[in-house]
Amino acid sequence: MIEIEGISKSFGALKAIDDLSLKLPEGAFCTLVGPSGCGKSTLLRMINAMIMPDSGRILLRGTDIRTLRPDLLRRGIGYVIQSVGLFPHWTIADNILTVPRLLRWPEERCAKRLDEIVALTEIDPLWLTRYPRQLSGGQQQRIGVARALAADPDIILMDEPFAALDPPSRANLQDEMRRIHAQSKKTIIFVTHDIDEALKLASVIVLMNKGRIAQLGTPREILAKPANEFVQSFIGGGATHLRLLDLEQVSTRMRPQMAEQAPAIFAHASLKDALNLMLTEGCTLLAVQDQNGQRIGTLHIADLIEANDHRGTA
Amino acid sequence: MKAEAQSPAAFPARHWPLSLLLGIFAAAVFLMPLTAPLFHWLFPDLLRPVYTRASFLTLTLAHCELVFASTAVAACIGIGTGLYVTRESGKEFLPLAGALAAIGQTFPPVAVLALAIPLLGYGAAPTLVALVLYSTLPILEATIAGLYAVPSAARDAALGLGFSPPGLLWRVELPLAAPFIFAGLRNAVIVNIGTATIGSSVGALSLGSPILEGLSASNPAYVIQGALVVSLLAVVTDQAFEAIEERFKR
Repeated sequence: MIEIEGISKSFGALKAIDDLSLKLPEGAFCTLVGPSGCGKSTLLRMINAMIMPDSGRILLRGTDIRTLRPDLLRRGIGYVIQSVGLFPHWTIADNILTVPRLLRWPEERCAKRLDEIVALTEIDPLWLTRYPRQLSGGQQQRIGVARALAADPDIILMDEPFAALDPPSRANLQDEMRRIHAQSKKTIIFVTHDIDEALKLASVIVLMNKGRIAQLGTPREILAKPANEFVQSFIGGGATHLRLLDLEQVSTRMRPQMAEQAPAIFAHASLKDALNLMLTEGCTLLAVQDQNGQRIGTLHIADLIEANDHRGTA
Repeated sequence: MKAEAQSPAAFPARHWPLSLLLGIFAAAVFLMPLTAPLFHWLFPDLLRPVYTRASFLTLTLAHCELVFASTAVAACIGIGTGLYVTRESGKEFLPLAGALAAIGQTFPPVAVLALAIPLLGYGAAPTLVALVLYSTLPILEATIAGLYAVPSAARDAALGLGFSPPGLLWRVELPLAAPFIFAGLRNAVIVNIGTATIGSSVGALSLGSPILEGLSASNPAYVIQGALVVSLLAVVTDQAFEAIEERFKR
């Protein structure tokens, strides 16, 4: 889907990207994560030709992007940036329909697509006739996401899209992206400096340092087997095991026995939530229930420790 | 006259209705001959208390022609240069353009007239040159300021979503810069209405004609009449711009 072959890019004396190669399968939710200056944003912006590499090449669906007209290439790729960049002189509806209009879709197709996008991204239809300045930061970025999705691109690039938002808005939009990714199976490339955000969202994490890939893997792989000291320190050493608990659902460690006298937790909650509930309630046993509140098993504190038993093999 | 023309913001915040101002202005232009008794009473020594060499309508039309033609040329130069020096290809000329326009602005219009006469002769041509030089800077400055005021995030997003450079200019940058450019035009027009009067010193017909003749023939009535009509023209024009701006805001 996206093949990056030996690209390098320097800005003056600074080597932003250093002979980097990467292959991303279709439908991946890939987070590019690393400290500031590691080249993650540069890498992202090379995929839609906003920045051209000094050497190497980038193939999208087998086509070298250098052979395409940049503006036409970009119309097929969603783009969301931290500073949102809605057009202040256009209504929200016009902002969302930016790319369909660039593609000269007929008005009735635009109108139909607007309805779909409003439903998909859970936008209040009352906003559509308003102007960007009338919305809060979180609401504006929701429009930014809607705008990126409007022409139904199969690749979406997101450059620290939620970094400037307050924590509730950020968590809310993160959940939204997970849901949209699960529904649409689009390939999403998401730059962040926040390892927790990367772990929460990614199917593949690309951890970068000094223009190179420090480690590539699933969140679990990165947490369980950090490739080197840089990765170890970036994922925050001691909290690794708590983060691993966060990645796994209660249902995977549940025992089928029933327990009546225990606090209840949902099967799809994370093991970290379960541990937190045990600490809060001062107990070692939880009753597990399904979405309808039906009790379906139990979770013992020993199950949490067992969940981390690959510690020894790491 | 100049000071008043250059600072339209100093005009009282509560505006007179445009139609009322237009009425007063039209009265001044058309009914000036009827004021002879008034000026005779004010300046009993004068033989001819009202300027009659050309009608005030003729003077006003000639004046407006000068202002319109010079501002149109200045707008083409100012906006065109402003666009060019804010493009990637013209960036290196930005300081140069700013400096040239500033020189044009600081050069006294009278000196421009004096220098232009040997090349262009007497009449409207040297006046137009002086007015164009004088009013290019406010338009150029406003154009650059307007384009710089476009949020860089909007520009980045527009490019990233697939606007072509001309599409970015026409559909994002210019609409967002328009209020600034319009304000620059307004400024240039008002300045030119005042400055065009000096064209009469080199033989161009304008509302400066009665003023200059009044100065050289010691006829204060002519000076007052010319200045009155020019001031009213400036105020009416300024308020017309104001009305257009208000409409655009909505």
